[in-house]
Amino acid sequence: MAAGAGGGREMNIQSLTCLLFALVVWLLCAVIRPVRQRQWWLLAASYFFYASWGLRFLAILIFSSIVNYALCLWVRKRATATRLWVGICFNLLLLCSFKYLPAASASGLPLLVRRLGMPIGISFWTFQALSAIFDTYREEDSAERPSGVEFCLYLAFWPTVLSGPICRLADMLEQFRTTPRINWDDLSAGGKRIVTGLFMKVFLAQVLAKGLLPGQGLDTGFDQLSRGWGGFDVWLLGAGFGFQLFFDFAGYSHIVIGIARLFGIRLQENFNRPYLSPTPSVFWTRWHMSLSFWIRDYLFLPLAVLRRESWWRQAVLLIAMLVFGIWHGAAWGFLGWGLYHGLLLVAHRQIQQVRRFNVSWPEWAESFLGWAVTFGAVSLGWILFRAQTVSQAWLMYRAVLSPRAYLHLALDPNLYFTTFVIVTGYFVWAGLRHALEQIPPEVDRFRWLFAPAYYSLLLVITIVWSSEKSVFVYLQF
Amino acid sequence: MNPPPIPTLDAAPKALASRTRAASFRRVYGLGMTLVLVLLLGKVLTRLADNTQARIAAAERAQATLAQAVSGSAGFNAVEARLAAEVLNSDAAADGRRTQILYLGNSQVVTVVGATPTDLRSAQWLELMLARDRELASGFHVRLGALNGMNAPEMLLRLIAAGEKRPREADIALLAISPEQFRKLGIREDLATQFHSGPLQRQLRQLMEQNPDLPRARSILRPLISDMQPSLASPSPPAKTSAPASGLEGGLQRLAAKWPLFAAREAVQKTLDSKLMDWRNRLLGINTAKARPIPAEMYRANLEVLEMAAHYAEAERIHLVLYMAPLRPKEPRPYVASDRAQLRTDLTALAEKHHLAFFDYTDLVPEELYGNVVHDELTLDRSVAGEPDFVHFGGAAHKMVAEHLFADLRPRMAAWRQAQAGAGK
Repeated sequence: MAAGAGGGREMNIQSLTCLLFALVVWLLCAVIRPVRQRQWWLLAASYFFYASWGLRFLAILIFSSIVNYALCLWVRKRATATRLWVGICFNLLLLCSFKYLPAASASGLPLLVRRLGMPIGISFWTFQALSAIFDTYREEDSAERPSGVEFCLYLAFWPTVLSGPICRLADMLEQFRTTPRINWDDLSAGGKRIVTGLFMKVFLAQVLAKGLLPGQGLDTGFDQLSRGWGGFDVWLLGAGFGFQLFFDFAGYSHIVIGIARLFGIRLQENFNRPYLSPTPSVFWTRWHMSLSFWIRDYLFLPLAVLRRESWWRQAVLLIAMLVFGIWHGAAWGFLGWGLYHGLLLVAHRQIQQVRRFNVSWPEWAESFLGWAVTFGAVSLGWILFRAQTVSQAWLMYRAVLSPRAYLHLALDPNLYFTTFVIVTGYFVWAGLRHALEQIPPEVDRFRWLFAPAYYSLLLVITIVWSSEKSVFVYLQF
Repeated sequence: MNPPPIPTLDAAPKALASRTRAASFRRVYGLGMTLVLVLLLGKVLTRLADNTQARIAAAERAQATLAQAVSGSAGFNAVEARLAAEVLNSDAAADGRRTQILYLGNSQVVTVVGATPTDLRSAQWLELMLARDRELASGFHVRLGALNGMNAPEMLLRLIAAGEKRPREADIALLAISPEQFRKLGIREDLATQFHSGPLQRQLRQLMEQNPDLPRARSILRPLISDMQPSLASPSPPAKTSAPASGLEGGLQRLAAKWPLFAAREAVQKTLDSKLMDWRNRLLGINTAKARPIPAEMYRANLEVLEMAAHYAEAERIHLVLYMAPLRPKEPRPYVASDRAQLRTDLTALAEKHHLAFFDYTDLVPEELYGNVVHDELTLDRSVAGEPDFVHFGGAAHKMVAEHLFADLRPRMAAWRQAQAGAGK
């Protein structure tokens, strides 16, 4: 499949090296039955995997694991707010040193930090470490205290270390402590998830980003045109990029969840058909769920209960979404994107309040309108996320708001065609799947007959498009 | 109505065994059938791509023998046949003693419709005409650097690459401009990767810094320069990884390439891409005469890139020559009249501003010298086969273009050559 993004030694999740690595680790896991030995083996394999991206990154991960484990023990001994804040500050400092400071002031940084670069996946495993400290403080995992190896494995578990899903200690600990029997259901489900994920990531996301020929992808629309977009162009670029990101990240999550399933480990889902959401609130329970639930549990809820006033709830919503945006990086675009979604959620709450006193709409009209408004609003939000600069985003939004801008088109005709086909294709597929789910099991007894045709088609398309170098957007977060 | 039969004591284990057998069958079927279908589908696709590849290889062989056949034909001697063949060898090192003419354009410049052994491309004819001229003989060499679908950014990159070679490959650059080039912005990977590092990247960066008044051109070229990338853009245009990769991944890829589908995946992808375009054309009723308006912003961006090319040529003392490529006069034409008029006006202005040679050959080639789209290696897309070809023409038209170019450029050629010699080259 595709090679790594950099020099070629790093194990990209869709490389053949990674496939071989997974096979070797899996075989040895199948042989090693004692839990303790199995944990050690998985930890060694995870560190080996992470080291392929850079030994210095591994050093930082091990350092963070040891300090966080010590912090958890310290907090467990006596759960005080001071100790909790020490834990929070350590992790935020680590994250800021490598992720935010370089972007804010490249020249004023200590030489060591500049030379090290940002460890891959630091945002993901730092948030996992933070959740462990929070849970320890709340004594939520008092029954299951991790050993040092278990804690290190929790942070470094190789399928999730690069880009999540962001796991919780309690969920993982339970699974690390059992030696699952290798069973067909896990292998079959894992395999299907991997094939689906590869198809989404290698084919759909790449075709949207790059197009079938050079200059016919969304990247050209965002990066090579600097002005002059028409109103329809911006809508297309926003919706198209949303789908590119969805196929890219949800595809990656499918692969990771599928690999973990081969080992008998069930990870948290990260996406659940977000583009079918009827409201912005529902969207945020379906998009990057592991991060969105993290923010809900460890930021939104603790802050929301501090005061009872309605304005405070809205303010906390805004704060939570701002953090969501900044988590992606120190850029005005991410900050604006977080704020935009915060405002969207606040507006949705206000509308819900008003609607209580109004006449209700027919259910189908309400569902459709809700979906259309949510899809449109979310799509427009991606402009802020993807635009190179805030001024570019401003120019694009101006095109959306200007009636005259709808009179011309600025992009390659094939970009409209491929984006339209893929986006429409997704909704048709989702509709079909929904329809199939309504069929009672006693009628739908022969679906298994057709499954091989479906998965073989996905696999062959993936193989054909695997010669393109794949670029994973979320790897830089 | 009879009551349902009362299950016997051994019915439960039997049912359980039956269910287990069914589950086992489903598992074996699922895995086995998936593998069988992958292999079958792979075989079908590989064969499809093989056919296409075979057609392309045959066409390439025919083109290669064309130059050889020329020597045996009336009107050419062995030296001229060699010169004509050299024009197509874009990788050959430049001879520093001769003035190098780089000839750029799109498929019109590359393709000879219904080619016979004596048919040459306009670039080859120009080389022969220069060689036959008593005053200019052996002082010039024409190099064909055109590509199918070549647009303005690609022309600029090719020009810089040729200009930075030592000895340089472009003292004069001949740019065949057609409206189609203004409808595209993409840069193909093999051109783009040359600019990811080294002196070419430095030159491009410098050129971009020197032209802050050409923001559109800078935007198009910015993704090529790695450390000026936007945060979410791809690090580079997608690079094929079928080139031998290093280390373990390379070994695994070579091993995987023993499977024909894996080995032929690029060819299969190209075939599927063209099939998709074929379906698109049928679905949307697209034919060769369908109007192809140029999006305004893409037009301006390409025009700025041409202006940047003029700046580069000026700085490097490369003589830039622009000509509006011939278009079939048959109506309705796919390119909107107002777009063509605008292009003519803007190119004239550009030429005046930068003192470039500019010729308008739009209506030079008569209707009868154009052909129809044939279903060959250039048109994998079957949906337009047999329709009027508005861009490509036969050998006689290529000769006609070369004659006009030669006549229009000849008065300047001697002066340029002298200036070149005077500057010590």
